[in-house]
Amino acid sequence: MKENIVENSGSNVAIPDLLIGSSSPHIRTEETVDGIMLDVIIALVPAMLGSIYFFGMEAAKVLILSIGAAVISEALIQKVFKKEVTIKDLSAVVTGILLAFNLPSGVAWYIPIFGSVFAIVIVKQLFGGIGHNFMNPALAGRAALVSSWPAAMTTFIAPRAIDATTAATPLALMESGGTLPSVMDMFMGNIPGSLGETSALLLLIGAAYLLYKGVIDLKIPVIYIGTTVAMLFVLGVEPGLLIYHVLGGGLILGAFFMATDYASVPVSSNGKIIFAVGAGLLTAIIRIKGGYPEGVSYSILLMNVATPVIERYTAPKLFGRVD
Amino acid sequence: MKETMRLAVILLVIASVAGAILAFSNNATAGRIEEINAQITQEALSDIFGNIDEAKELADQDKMREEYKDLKEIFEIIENGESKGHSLTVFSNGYDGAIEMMVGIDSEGNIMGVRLVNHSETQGIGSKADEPEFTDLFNDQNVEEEIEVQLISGATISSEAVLKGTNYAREIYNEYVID
Amino acid sequence: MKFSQIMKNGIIKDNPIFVQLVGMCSVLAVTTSVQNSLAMGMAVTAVLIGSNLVVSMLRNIIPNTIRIPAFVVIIATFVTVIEMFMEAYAQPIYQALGIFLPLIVVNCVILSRAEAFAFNNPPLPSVVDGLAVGLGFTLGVFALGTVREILGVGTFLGIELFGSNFPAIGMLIMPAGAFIALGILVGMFNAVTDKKA
Repeated sequence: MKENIVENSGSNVAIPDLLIGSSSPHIRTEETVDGIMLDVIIALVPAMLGSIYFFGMEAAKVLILSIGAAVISEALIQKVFKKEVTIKDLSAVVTGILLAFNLPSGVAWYIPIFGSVFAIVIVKQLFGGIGHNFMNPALAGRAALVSSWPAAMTTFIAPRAIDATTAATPLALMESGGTLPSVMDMFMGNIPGSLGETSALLLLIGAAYLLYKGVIDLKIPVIYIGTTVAMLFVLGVEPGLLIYHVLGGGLILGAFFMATDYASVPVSSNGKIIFAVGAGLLTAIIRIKGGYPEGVSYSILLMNVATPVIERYTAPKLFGRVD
Repeated sequence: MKETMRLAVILLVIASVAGAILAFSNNATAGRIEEINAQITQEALSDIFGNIDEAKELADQDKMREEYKDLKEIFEIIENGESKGHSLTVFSNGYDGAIEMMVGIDSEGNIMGVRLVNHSETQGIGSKADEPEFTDLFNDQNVEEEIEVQLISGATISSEAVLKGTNYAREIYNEYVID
Repeated sequence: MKFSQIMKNGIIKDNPIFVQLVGMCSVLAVTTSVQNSLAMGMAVTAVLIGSNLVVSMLRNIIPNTIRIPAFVVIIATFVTVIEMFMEAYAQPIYQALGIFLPLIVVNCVILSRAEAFAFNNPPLPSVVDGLAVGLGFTLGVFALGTVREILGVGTFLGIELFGSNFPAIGMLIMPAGAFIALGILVGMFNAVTDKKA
């Protein structure tokens, strides 16, 4: 989206004026933060409904707690800091939904609440609020939860089970060598996992909407997933199992909805490519060589932290030049 | 040259006084430290073996240490004139430095107990490897085969260190202690 | 300078942990429990008082060019003596502090006080400065240790506070939690002291 603005500037006669040192943004568009956030929420609705279909009221409970805690903690911390309360921009709602998507259903009530408060207060507001977070708040919240309650965060519930039986995710099954579910079940989302990472179909519907609205572009998601698959292949994963790696974990959710976060991802085109390749390599390495079955969240967080360095070396040399 | 000599002499004087102070306080505390360490060993021994008359240090330990550097000491436990088993104290690398641990093995080669004698694992996390819920898992396993236990989730490094230390002690036992 | 002023500087205005942010290695590592924090704080205070006193007494004898090696020898002596006595008379704490007790030698809180204060001031103010900075350090590690132990384990000085069902925030006991908790405490400390000033 930001690139579009820069591209428009190529034909914009007002460019000479912009050389007079004022800080960005130089060119105004009709797009607003709350407009984009609303689009993201709309895109996440199918997967949200899907999670409630697959995991029942437990999933709804996690979603409500997570979103509620995110919005309330944003309002409270802004009051404490005597700042303008900006919950109307809906970014806290998006963080809440994405965090809930990273949690297993049936977790204790304090887990979504602590995760949301950590994401909003520590990762987002303490660093300056929207646009200043140095890493994806929802993923940072997830990382805090995994290190605090590792057992609860990796206990997954079987989908559409009446008595909430625990079950292993496809990725965990591949690591331990169990019977894998069918590819169709994984595509539809009929597998154990976090709320939002199970149904590839519903996530892709949402992603298609965001692409159509121009909120995200395909560069990062496609390169990210492509690099992951290539690296998994290099690391010796059987070709037949690669599809399980794409559909069975959080790769699609991470690639389309988290690795495209504006604030914590490089702005320039080359920077985005480096970001996506790096995240892909790390995801594959963590999944195959690391101790965890899933590596999407840590690889995106690590690349978030590397973003300032990437930007330093990929910043356009000439003003107004678009590669 | 003269200036350099002056500096060297001043530093030498300071260092000598420091050395004297250290020698003095070492003198004042060495006995007490030895006593405390002996007491800790004694407590761990009686915790594992119950009543003991004598803990006899095994001969040839220096030779064993050439191959097994992390071995601290081996005692043969004697009660009523009969051998009750052996205790092996070894070091294993934990999350936060070395863990000093004692493995007690009875005369049939069954583990009687594993105790952490000295460690600085994180309180509340790694320290779980020091609790009976974990250390009791080793009890009654025979040292003929590789020892296996369920590691503590969340304290993998510390509990794995204890497991590794136990298997290390097992190797020493099998190579040197049983005939 | 008045002694009350030195005390105020060491504990609040130039607090080694919350304001100067020096000696962080041991601060982050040993504050997993209140007991360890207090022990570390007391050990650092004792070394500070001792090294400040000796450095101040020798300040006219030690030539400027070799002052740093001289400081290090003096500090290392005090640390080693304290280490020996702790091993003899406070074995559990000695074990818990582990490598961070001998590492007080390279704790820059102590070296910086020798360099910045004791080398230029008479013995009595230097001792007061050592005490003040030591108390400031102890205050810092105590606060951090309290937050981390209460929220991260659910205990205070080993006493269970909330019953066994308390969902302790394990992250706070880990290194990442130490950084986050310290950052928040530094912010709060500065917010409060800024208002007063």
